Amino acid sequence: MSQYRRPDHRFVMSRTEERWIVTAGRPRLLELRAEKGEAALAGGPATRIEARSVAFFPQPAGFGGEAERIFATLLDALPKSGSFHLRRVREERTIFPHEGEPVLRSARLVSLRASAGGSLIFPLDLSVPERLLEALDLLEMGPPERLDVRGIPIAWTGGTAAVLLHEALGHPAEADADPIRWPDWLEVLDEPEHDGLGTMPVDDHGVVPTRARLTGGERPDAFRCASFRDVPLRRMTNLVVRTDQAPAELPDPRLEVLLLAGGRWDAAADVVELRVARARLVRGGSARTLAPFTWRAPRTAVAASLRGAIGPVVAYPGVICAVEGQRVAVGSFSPTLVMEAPGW
Amino acid sequence: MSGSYRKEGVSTIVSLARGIESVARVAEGGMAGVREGRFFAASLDPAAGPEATPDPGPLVDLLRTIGRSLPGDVELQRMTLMAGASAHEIDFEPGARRWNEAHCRLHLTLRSTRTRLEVPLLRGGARTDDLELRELVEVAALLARPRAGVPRVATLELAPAVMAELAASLAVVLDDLPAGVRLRQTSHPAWPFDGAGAEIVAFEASAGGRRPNVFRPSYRSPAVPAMFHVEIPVGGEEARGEVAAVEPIGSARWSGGSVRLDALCAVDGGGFAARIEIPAAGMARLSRSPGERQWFPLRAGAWGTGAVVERARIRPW
Repeated sequence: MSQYRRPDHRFVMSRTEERWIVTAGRPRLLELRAEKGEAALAGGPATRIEARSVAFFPQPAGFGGEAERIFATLLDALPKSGSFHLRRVREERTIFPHEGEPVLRSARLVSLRASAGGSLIFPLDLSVPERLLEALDLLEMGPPERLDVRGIPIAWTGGTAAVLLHEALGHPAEADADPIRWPDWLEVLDEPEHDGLGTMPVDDHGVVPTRARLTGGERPDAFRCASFRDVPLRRMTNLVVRTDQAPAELPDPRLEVLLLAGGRWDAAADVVELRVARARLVRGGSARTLAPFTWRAPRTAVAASLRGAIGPVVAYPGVICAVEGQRVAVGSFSPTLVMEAPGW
Repeated sequence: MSGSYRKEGVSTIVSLARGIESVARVAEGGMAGVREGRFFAASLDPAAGPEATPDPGPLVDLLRTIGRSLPGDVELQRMTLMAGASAHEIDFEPGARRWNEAHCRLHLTLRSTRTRLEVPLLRGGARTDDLELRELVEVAALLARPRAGVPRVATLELAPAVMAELAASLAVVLDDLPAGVRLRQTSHPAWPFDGAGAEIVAFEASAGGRRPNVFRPSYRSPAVPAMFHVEIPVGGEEARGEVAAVEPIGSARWSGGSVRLDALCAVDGGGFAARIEIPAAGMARLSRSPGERQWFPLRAGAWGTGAVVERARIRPW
């Protein structure tokens, strides 16, 4: 892993954000924001930042030809019943490193919140309409029941295992917390070069970040900031879970976690907490949908209760991660992981 | 509402987060409004650059003073100290006007290296001189002298920081304001106008009542109805509680006719974290405790005056 670096550099960033509401199939643009700013950063005992805003006016439908077509397809594809809040973001950063050529980093994201609950975020690309509809199917499962599922093994499906490990391993690694022992078959990496929400050819220190093996005690290498006003902090980019020779079978009964509404790592208690938006209890050939609930476990219990993996690595539809008030998108990729219930 | 709101500001932010010290000098301009039925916001070129921001020297000195004042087994987990000035312009009625503001914020988290308990503190004012650091020293001392167990008590003293948090939590549930619990909007001499340029006028809240003022936390956010500089009135004879809730740990939440919050508490010079539950009937009959009224930068502002409550339940955290 590369050493901590703070080379002098500067960057310019712009961000356009639209908020839409789609009711009964009819889209309406509610809010339109644009901001641009530039910052010069210098190292030393303290990082010094001089930043200023730059005039930048928002233009509706200013995302460009293909992005507009994809978004129109997405709006058409949404169910005609219910209402949906969509947010479309375009962000561009030009980083001028201390040495070398400027690097342009751009991201286009779309996020959705359904009136039925749950939120999703995707890179705005050609796969969005299909992936979004798959995820919406999860939100429409029902009717939800309140069931006592304590003691039942858990299958973290659909990439949710990456979010579990984002909280249980990623945040502690960012904060340089004491390492704990993880199963030998499990490898969790932060991969800035991976194609995902956190793809990062150059970080906000103007440095090419390297892959970090979090299960090996390494820390995420990239420094990221949310805006031109903020200090870059060590942050995850794309959290990727890989497994080796740990095939598991789906237990019966089991709790299948399908979609999450948020999570956190409580550093003081060393406890992981996840808000589960959609899950189902599978017993025999039948499945019952659970009402949203909060799942908690000590970090050491998470590590000790993982049993194995099933299926391919899949992308979870998005994590917006807030640290020190700075919100950044982090990619999340994992196979289904199976664990004994470590407690609630 | 048509027309636009413009803001221009400079600020210096000294921070310590995850072991990284930084000094940021930011000059920023922006405008917002409603056009064709939709909210818009745009950044602007500020007239002055980062060189116009407050001198970071005194802020760095204050940060170091705070760091040096901590006992050996209490550490500064994170800290942000910000000082700045802003100019606002509204070009639509009823508040068409220009005005200037100054502001200062201190946000830090203290952590006991022995118990790992973390306590966040949020303080604010118009100038750095307004920041009250005496309580910071008191919180650090309590973290350094942890006390085991939670005593059974009949009376609980609520420090101004706790009372301000309770007032801010009531402003959120105004539509369901519990019977007998009082909340009022007051004014602050440093910030007399709201997010639409209208004067902030004192009034007593009622359940489901109107909020005549609007809050605009940033030019990037639409203005929303809010109560400003909220306060829970306390009066009567001065009293003292057997245990004091000194500093909130997280937000207070109203549910089922009572309010719950976690707080760092003090008894006999020792500190402990507790879960506190106060029924609305208890919040409706508060006695004043000694000490000065203080302002806190919670949501659109909150005042806290020390009080004693008789019907609180406290449990281990």
